[in-house]
Amino acid sequence: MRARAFALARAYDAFWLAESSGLRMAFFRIAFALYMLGYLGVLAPHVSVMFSDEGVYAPYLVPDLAPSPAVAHALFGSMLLLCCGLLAGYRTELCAAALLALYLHHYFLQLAVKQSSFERLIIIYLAVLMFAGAGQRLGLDGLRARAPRVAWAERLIAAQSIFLYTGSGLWKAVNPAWHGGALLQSTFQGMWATPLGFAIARAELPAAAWTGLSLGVIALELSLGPLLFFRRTRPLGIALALGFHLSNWVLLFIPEFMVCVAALLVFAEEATLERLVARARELGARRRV
Amino acid sequence: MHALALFVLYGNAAVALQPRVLHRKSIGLPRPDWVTDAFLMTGMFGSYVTRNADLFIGGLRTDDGRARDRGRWIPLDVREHFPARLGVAMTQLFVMRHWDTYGAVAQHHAWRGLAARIRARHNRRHPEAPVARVRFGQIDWPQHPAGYREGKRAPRVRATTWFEERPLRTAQR
Repeated sequence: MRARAFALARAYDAFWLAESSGLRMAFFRIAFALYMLGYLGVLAPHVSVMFSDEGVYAPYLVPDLAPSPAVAHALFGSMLLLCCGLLAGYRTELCAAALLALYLHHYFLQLAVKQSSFERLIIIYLAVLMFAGAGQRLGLDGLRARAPRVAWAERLIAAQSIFLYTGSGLWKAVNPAWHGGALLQSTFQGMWATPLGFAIARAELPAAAWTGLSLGVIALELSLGPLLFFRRTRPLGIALALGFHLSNWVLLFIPEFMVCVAALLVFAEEATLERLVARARELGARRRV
Repeated sequence: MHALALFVLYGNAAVALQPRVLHRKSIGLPRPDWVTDAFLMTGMFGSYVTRNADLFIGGLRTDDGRARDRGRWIPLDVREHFPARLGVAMTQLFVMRHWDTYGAVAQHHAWRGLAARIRARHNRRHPEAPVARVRFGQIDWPQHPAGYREGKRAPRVRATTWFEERPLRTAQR
């Protein structure tokens, strides 16, 4: 019994602490930092109205502790600076921890009110980055003493992505509103729909086509988990997930979910990423010559 | 590290992989409300509507400032207080999270705070037209595939006030 418990613990450790090149997390870190710069950049002109005591906000689970506009701008500006630190891979763990603390302040003060999934993902990703050593490759942290690189962070983010797609498909599968096409048809005429979404709504598709589309979304989401899990089907999984998020962006104007695309990078083959880095270095060297 | 991994895995397994329908049948892992709240990432676009909507905010003018609309309800610029696109502004003004997680009482409580902040912000920015009370809600109309506001024509348009501040007692003024 005891021996079995030890074996289980060893297998658990072996899974999380397997050796890694660190490239997947480096690519994730860069993509995620770029996403955060874009996401926060869009909010930046509205700091006073969203996050200061002269603004309009709805605190969630916290007392009303909105700072003055000057302090609110300083806190928000610090988030942008920390995103740049993350992008450069400079003191990555520290940047992630400070960014998480500041993000949580803004989240509970204002952002949480929206009940958005992608903001919960941002919090989880930042928490993972606090321990990931993600700046050791393609980052300034690589210039300092290196800790051994393990697969813990990339596997946790991979697991989170698989849970996200599988769970989302499952929730839709048990929701009767998703079993017909009416929900999707109304969504393409609603407040999130883009002109392209409206164009599809105008196409006078038969009810069966809308139902087929709706069931297709469920099937896609349920299949993404297994496709991403198995190594041989990962390229297809990555392509389908990318297409799914892009279509969410062009049919329904919700670009915020592109944060999930950053997470897809942890499913990439290390050899592919190594080749990309080598090619980029080669190009850089040629330019210098 | 391991604690964070276990927490993320458990939260997802308990919430993402167990839709409410299954959980109500007592199938699955125990999950306190705060775990559900933290890991509820899967329920988007769960219900559909047949009407599109715009938001409105109104303010009851005080007896100060400009003369022409004193004592009357005037429209306030929604974008001045909620600069995000309509879908996001809708979730903010409706205080979606409070309603979805803690119900109508929490929503009403949040609305009181929101209304006070809208009023204070308006009065700061428009000292020539201060308001004593604020109300807000939505104007909606049937959906139309030709465009978001294509169906916004009388008599199919209806207004619903979600929240209206109570009159302040004289002593409070």
